[in-house]
Amino acid sequence: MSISTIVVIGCLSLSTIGLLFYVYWVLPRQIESRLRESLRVFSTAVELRFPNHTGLTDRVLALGLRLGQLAGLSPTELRDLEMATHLRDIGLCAIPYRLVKEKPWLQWTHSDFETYDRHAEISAHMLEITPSLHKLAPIVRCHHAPYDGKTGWFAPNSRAIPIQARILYVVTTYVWFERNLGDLLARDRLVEGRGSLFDPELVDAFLRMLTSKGVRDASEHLAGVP
Amino acid sequence: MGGTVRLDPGNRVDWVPLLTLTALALLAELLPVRVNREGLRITLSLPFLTGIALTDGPLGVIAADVFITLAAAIGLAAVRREGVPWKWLSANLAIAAVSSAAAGLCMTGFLTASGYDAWLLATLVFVLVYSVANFVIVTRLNSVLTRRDFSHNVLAGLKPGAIGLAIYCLVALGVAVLVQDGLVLLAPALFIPVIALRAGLIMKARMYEHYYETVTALTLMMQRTNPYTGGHLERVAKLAEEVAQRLGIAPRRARLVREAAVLHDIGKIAIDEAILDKPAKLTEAEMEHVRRHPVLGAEILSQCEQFRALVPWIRCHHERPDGTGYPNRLQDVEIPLESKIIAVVDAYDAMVGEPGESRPYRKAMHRREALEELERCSGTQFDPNVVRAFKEVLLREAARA
Repeated sequence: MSISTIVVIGCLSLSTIGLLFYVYWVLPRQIESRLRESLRVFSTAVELRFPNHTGLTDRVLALGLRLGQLAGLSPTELRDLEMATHLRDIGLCAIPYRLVKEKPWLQWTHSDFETYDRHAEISAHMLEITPSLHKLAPIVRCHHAPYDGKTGWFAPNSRAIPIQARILYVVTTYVWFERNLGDLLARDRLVEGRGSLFDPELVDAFLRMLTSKGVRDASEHLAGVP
Repeated sequence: MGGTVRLDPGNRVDWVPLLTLTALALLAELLPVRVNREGLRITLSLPFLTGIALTDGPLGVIAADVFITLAAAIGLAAVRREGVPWKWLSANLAIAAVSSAAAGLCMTGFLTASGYDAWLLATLVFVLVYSVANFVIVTRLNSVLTRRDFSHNVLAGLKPGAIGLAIYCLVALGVAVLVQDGLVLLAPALFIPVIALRAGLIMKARMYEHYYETVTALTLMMQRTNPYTGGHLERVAKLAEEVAQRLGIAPRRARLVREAAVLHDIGKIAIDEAILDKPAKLTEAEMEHVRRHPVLGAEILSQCEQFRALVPWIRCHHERPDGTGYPNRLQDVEIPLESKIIAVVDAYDAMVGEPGESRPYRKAMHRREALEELERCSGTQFDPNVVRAFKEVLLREAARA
C-alpha cells in the first residue's frame, strides 16, 4: 500500500466515523427535540385561547406517560402517547370562544358538552392532512370516546379505541376534575365511569398509581404545591 | 484483479474495475434521496463514476453514467410498478451525459497538462467539475419549473451542496487509491460513508418536511378560528417573499419572511372570533382585545427554536413608522424591515381580496385604489421603501402576465 493510499483511507475512515456519529447519534436527537418543540407550539396556542387549560398538558403528560409505562406500552407507543397529548386539543380552536371562556363549565348543557367534545374529531381531521402526524389521528379522535361504545355522539367499539386514547381519556378526565373539583371528586368520577366511560383496568392501575408515593410527590411538584 | 489509472486509448479495457465500479454506481443510483418538496431527487453514484473515469477515460464514464441512469430508472419503475417517466428520464440522461463529458474532458486535460502522477488531484477535478455542471443544470431546471430566481436557488443550495461535495471528494479519493493499488474489490466498503450520507440527507429532508407540516397545521388552526382563505394566505406569502428579495434580503431570510407572512396572524387563535367577525365598528375594549394578537402570536411561535427568527417580525407587524402602532408603539428605526413588508402586503391583499377572504365585512377595492391607499399611508402607517418595492413587484407581475 502506498503512502497516499494510507493517508486517504485514514482520512476517509475518520470522516466516516464522524459522519456515522452525526447521522446516527446527533441528528436523531436534534429531530426529536425539534419535534417536541413544535408540538409545544400547538398546546401553547390552545392554552392561550383558553387559559383555563393552562398547564393541563404538562400534568396530563406526566401522569399519562407513567400510566402508559404501567400498562406496558412500548417506547414507540409511549412516544405516540406523548405527541397525541400535545395535539389532542388543537381542534379546540374551532370550538366557540365564548362557550369555553365565558360560560362556567358547571352550567354547560348537554348540547354544550356535545359541541365541546367535537374538538376531538376536528383535531383528528387536522392531523389526517398532515402526513408526519397522520398516525396520531385515531388516538386523538378517540380520546373522549366511551369505553362501552354506548355513551356520547361518537362511540366506537372499545376494541377500536387505541390504548393511548383510553389512557388519555382517563388521565384528562382526572386532571380536569382534579383542577376544578379536587382530587377526591376526580377519583370518584373515574370510579363512577369505570367500565362504561373508562377502561376498567386502566382506571384501577391509575388509581393505584396515584396512591404511590413517587407519583404523589411528582404531582405536587407539578401542581406547584410547596 | 485490479487496474491502474490510465487514459491511454491503446490499453485494453480492465473489466474487473469497470464492472465492480459500475455495479456499485448502479446500486447507489437505485437509492435516490428526495431532498425537497418539489420532488427533486439526488443519487450518490458520483464517487464510483470517478473510478471509472480514471480507469476507462471520458468515453467510458459517459457510457457508464448513461447506462446506470437508464438501468436505475427502468429498475425503479419496475419495482414501483409504474410506467417509466420517459420525459424526465431523457432530461436525466442528457444531464448525466453533459456532466460526465465535461468532467471527463477536464480531467483528461488536467492529466495531460500536469502528468499522469497527478491522478489524485485529477480525481478531485473530476468530482468538482461533475458536481458543478450537474448542480448548475439541475438548479437552472428547478428554477424554470418552480419559477424561482436562479441565483437565489444557487445560493440556497450551496451550503448543503458543499457538505455533500466534501464527502463525495473523500469517497472518490478512496475509490481512486483502491483502483490505483489494484484493490478495487474492496471498494464496496466505501458504501458505508455513502449510506451514512444518504441517511443524513433523508433525516434532514424529514426535518424540513416536518417544519412545513407544522406551518401547514398551524395555518389550518388559524383558518378554523378566522375567516382567512388559503388563497389570501398564499398570495400574501408569495408577495412578501418577492418584496423581501426586491429589498435585497438574502434568499433564506426571504423564505422565512414568506412563512412569517403565512403565520403573522397566528395570535388570532386566542382572540374571540365573534369580535373578529363583527361587521360593526369595534368598541375600545374589543379593539384592546384584538390588539393582543401580535403578542400572543409571538408567544405561540417562541416555543419552537425553528420559529424564533419569526417571533420579532410577527410581534411588530402592527407597529407603524410614525410610532402610533401596537403593541409597543415602536419608532420607525426600531421596527424590523420584515414586519414592515408583512404590514404592506397584508394590507394590500386585504383591500383587494374578495369579501370573506380576509375581512368578511368589507367590499373588495380596485387594485389602483388599494395602491393609492398604500401611497397615502406611506411614511405614516407603511414604510415608503417597502411600498415602493411592493409597487415594483406588482408591476413586474403585471408585465409577466
